[in-house]
This record gives sequence, C-alpha cells and structure tokens, in this order.
Amino acid sequence: MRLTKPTLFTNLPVTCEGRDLPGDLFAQLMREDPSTIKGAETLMLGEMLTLPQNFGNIFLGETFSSYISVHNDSNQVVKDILVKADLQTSSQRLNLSASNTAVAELKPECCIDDVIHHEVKEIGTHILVCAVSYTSQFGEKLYFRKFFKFQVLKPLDVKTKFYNAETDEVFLEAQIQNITTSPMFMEKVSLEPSMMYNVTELNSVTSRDQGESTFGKMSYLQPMDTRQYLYCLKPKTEYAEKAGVIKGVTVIGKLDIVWKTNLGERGRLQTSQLQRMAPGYGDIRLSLEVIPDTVNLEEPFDIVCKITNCSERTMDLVMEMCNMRSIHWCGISGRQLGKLTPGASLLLPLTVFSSEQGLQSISGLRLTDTFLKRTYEYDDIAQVCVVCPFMSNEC
Amino acid sequence: MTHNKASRCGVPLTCCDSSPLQSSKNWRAAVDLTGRLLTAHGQGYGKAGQPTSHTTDSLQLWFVRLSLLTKLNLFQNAELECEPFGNLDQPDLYYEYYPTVYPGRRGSMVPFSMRLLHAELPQYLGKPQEALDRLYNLKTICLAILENLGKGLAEDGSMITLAQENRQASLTLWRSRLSRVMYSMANCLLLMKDYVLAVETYHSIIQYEPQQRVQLLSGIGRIFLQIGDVKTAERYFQDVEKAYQMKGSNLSHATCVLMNRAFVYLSQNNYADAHTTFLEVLKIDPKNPVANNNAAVCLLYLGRLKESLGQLEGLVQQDPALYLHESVLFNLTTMYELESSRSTQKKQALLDAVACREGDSFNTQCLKLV
Repeated sequence: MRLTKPTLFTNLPVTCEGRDLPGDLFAQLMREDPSTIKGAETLMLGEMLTLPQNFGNIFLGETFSSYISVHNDSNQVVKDILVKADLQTSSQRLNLSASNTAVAELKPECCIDDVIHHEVKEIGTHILVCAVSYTSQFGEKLYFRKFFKFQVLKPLDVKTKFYNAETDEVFLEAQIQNITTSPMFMEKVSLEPSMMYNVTELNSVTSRDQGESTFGKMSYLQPMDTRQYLYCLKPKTEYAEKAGVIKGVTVIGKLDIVWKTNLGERGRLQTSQLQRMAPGYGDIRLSLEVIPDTVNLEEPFDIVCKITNCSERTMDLVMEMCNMRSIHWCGISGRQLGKLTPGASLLLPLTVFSSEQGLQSISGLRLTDTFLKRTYEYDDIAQVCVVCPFMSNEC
Repeated sequence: MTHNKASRCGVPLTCCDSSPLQSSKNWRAAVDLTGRLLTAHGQGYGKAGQPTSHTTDSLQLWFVRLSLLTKLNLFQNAELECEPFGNLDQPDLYYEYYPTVYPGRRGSMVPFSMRLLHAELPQYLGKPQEALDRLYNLKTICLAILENLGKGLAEDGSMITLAQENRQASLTLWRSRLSRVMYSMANCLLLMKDYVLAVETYHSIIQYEPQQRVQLLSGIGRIFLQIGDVKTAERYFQDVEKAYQMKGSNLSHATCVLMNRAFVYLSQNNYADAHTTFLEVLKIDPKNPVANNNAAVCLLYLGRLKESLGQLEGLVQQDPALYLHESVLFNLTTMYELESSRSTQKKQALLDAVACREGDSFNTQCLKLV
C-alpha cells in the first residue's frame, strides 16, 4: 500500500439555535462526534487522521513510500521466507528491500512488514516487483511474484529567459508552473551558478531584519498557476575581463527547486545546466561601467564607458561625440584614444547632460578605426531618468 | 414557542415530536415524519405552487427537514425543496402578511438557522461562489443590526427604545450569529481551496469569539500544514503555546499544544516522535478518540500493521458508541485490505456491529464493501 501522508478529516457542520425546533440536539450531536474540535465544533478542519484511500499521483522528485506486507493466510507454518522488493523502470532495476536475510518462520495469521522509501528520479512507467520465496510445511520450495505498476508524472514546467543588461550583468527570469493537481508550497527555488558567475537572488524584500518573499501572503502555488523568479548574475572578476570577448554558448548554472505538499510531503528537482548564447558584440564593444540612474535636468553628469576590442586586429581609435536633440556632450570630440590590442579594453570617462525631462536614451558616440577607416556608431547605449529638481512653479 | 390556536388542520405541534427519532440518528425516518407533518399542514408533497399559509411552526418543520436532508448529504433534494422559498424574503414569509394570526408582530418568520442553511447549501452542489454571496449578505445584515443596537436603536434601525437587558440579550444573540456566519464563510473558502482568504476569515473570528482562540489558531496552523508551509504552521502553533504558558494549566489547551506538536513531527516525517506525542495526549486524556486514532495511524507508518489493527479493533470493541465513526472505520477497512486479500469477512463483521447500533443515516461507504 502506498504510504502518502494521511489527510485530515473534515466535518460538515449543521447547527441551529436553542429557540429552534431541534433545540440543543444538533449542538449535542456535534459535541458527541469524536471528529469535531471541542469548543469550536463549527470548525470544518478536524484533527482526525485518515489513511490514504487510493494510490493518488506521484511526481518526479517526490519520494515513493510503500508498505509491503506478506501475510500468512493459511493455517500452516511456513519457513525461510525471503522478501525482495525491486523497482523496475525503463532504464534500470533498483533493489529497495531493507533486509536481505530470510525470516526463519511465519506462523498462520502473522505477517512480515517492511516500509520502503525511494526518491523517484525518472518519469514514466515504474513497476514495483515483490518477490516472495518460502518453504512450505512439507519441505516444498515455493515462489511467487506480484507486480504493481504506476506512472511517474512531471510536476513542474520550467521556462527560462535571459536578459542582458548594459553592464556585464545577466538577469535570469525563471517561470515555474505547477502542473500537478494540488497546491504546492515552494520551499526553495535557488540558482546554483557555474564557476564563472556570482548570483544574487531578487525574490525577497528585506525590511529591517526580516526578509519577506516578493510573493507576500501567497506562499503556495495553486494547480496551473505560474510564478516568476528573478536572479542577477555577475561574472566573477577573473572572468570579467574576458566577458566582452566571450562568444557563443556559456553555461550559467542550474535551478534547484524544493517544494512541499500535504503535511510536508517533499519533492526536489534540479534542472540541467542552463545555457546562454552570448550576444554578438561586433568588432568593438561599448559598455557602461558607471552611470547614474537619475539625474537632474540640464545638470552635467559623469559616465564611464568601457571600450573593448573584440576583433583579431589592433585598432587605433578616434572618439567623436555628436549632440542629439536631448543629449548634449561636454568635452573634446575627435580625440585620439590610442592603440588597442585584440581583447584589451580601456575606460573612458565622459560628461553629458540632458535638456529634456523623462526617460532619456544616451546616444551619439562614434568610434572610428583609423587603420581601416571604419566608423562604428553607438546609439541608445543606456537609459537615464531625468527629473526637474525645482519644486516651485518655475519648472 | 407559541403554540397558537390557528395551527392548520388542528395538528398540535410539539417540540418533541421528532426528537426521539433524531437522537437515535434515524434521520431518514425523521425526514419522512416531517413530510407527513407538513402535509397535515397543507404543505406536503406535490403542494408546491399553491397558495401558502406559513406559520412559525411550519417553517421550523421545513428547517428541520432541510437540515436533516443536509446531514444525509442529500443536497440536491434539499436544494429542490428550498427553491419555492426563493431568497427567503417573499412577503408571505413575514408576520405582517398574516395580521389575523399574528396581530401586531413584525419581521421575518424565517428562523435564522434556516437562512444560514439556505446560504451554505450551494457550496455542496459545486456552486461555492453563490454560497459566499449569500453568506456575505447575511454578514452585512448582522453587522447592520449590531450597528443599530450599538447606536441605541432597535435592530431594524427604528427609534424604539429597548430595555437594557433586552438590548444586551439582542447584542449577544446577533454577535453569536455573526461569528456563526463567519465560520460558514471561512469553511466555504476552505472548500474552495482559497487558503489565503480562509485563514484571514478564521483569524477575524477571534475578536468575536476570544474563548475559541486556541482552537482557531491551531486550525489555521493545520491549514498551513495542508498547504505544505510547515514554517508558518509552526509559528501559529507557537502562538498557541505562548498563550498556554501565560494562562496556566487548562486540560484542553494542553492537549491542543501536544496535538499540534505531533502534527509538526508528522510533517517532518518523524513518525516515531509523532506517535510518542499522541501517547502523551493519552496520558492527560486517556479517552481522547482523536489521539487514539492518530497514534494507531502512526504505527502503520512505522511498519507495525498488526499493532495498529489491534489498537483500533480494541477501541471499537470497548467503546463502539465513540469509535464506530466514519473516519475510524475508513482506517480500519484500509488496514484490513492491506493485511490480507480475505478482508471481506472482517469488513462484514464491522457492518454487523454498525447495524446494531447506528440509525438509518450511517454512511456505509466507509466500509468499502462494494
């Protein structure tokens, strides 16, 4: 018998008042009912435990627990009983029995009990094979097997999306959907990064010393509901230098998900290593090291650009700044930046201000490689929020 | 109860008419009796749609009939019989409609318990939202009446002055009605699996029924255990324990604290400690049926089938009045099926035991004989 957790018995309260025809009868019946809560008989959820009535569903990552009982139905004593329990999947056969020694004898009406546990790691058909071998009273060696077949289903649907920030950070959005038939409490959803990255999880709000989940009171996931988790990955400093030149597929890390259902029934899953396609940067990559989020109108602010040579040849770069409608650059345009070898990068501090309020996009940088006489244009490099600092009517 | 001369067809109605049938749980027979009494009233089978003449007595009979149908889980029958009453606010359900029978009386003749039952019924028929709407309506009425009483007016807002003790009695009555409605709402939300709202509603009952604080907090803890959120459940159970430590020893409170602890052990897969804790409850309260049943359940999870069966069978034999209950019998028959493929005989024996004692309303499904 599969040992899923027991369930709590629920009552259906039917009450009346003293002035009604049944008088105290209904209340008395409820007080005498052993399954009601004494003192609060109208509370539906009682404390009586009821054993599982059917096999139910089993999902990948959960633990399959089962009671195995061998009962002597006959009126004879049997000897040398050996019970073996195996779990057969499409790919392997696992031995689950706790003991491998034979029981000397089994009297009539007695039984041999065993409780086995197994963390299910495969989807699909599983067969529990119970084999019993014994010797009858007359010395006959007998053997029989029983098969119990069940399906292991998929509990979660996980989708991932990567977002590349203007800096070297990568944001991972993980969408998790509960595709079982009962609510799930998500105990832990964490990202274990690969060795190249450090991860910060962005799924809790810390106020004073307490951390509260971003999901607030909805700590559980109803069937078919989806949740999004957000993580920020920053490449470690030793890899950061190479980050601009990384091409192709990189391994980001894997998601570790632990959930609980009725009365603490636990499940655990890990995704495979998540991969990300590094965006192509072309020959030269211009990224922003330092940029403020919010600036004041018409007030110059400093930014630091990082220019990385992603090509195979040395470059000799000239920087030109073009003023756009709202973005105005300060400083000298047309400067020589010097030679840049392949894979190397340089930091360039610049000053700029905006003449319009709102979310402004920084544009207007032009880099020219004097060797090949090729110009690279950089527009919409980053966004900055421009606000009016004056509180009076003048603004 | 006023037994007025004008009870139709000269059938005297006493309170005790259906009691003996009810107390022996022969609810089917009791339902039949109400049918006969209502027919004598001119309102029985086949009389729907004819001009009505309700009295407080006939309405009480209807209430008893509907509540028994609900107890028998015959929800569709109850809904069908409720339909002619509409939303219980039709003119012929008010005292003013019968000025000769009830001179000078005002208001609704429908018992509050009947309104509550009528509101709860849809949730058992797969329409929980409708039940919630009706219950919210009832709640609003209760709150309005309490507000009127608080302002020194009569229940319906009129300027009639009430004597102090009448006002106090009315306040107590309507407060208890309000918390009863809120229990119904919370139970309905739980049925709908809207755990967040259910927890909030149970929580808000505490201010109206502070003496039930321990039971309510423990109940909320159990809801969180059902979701799988063991940590939050533990927090609620800790609140219960703190209250217990402050107030001093109280038997049922101590039992509650131990039960909660046992449930937490269960949720941590620690069946051994759960079993020990249930046994500790039995040291304080040896006849506690829940602890006895739950201890036996733990034994099964520890691989001790025979012991578990022995315990439960012993309990049923010693005290059949208490233990021939649906939940215990479910557990017994499940274990019989696990023990041997020849479980039918033992289940049959249970059926015989039940037949001797229980009335005609016992739900034999729990014996799993089919």
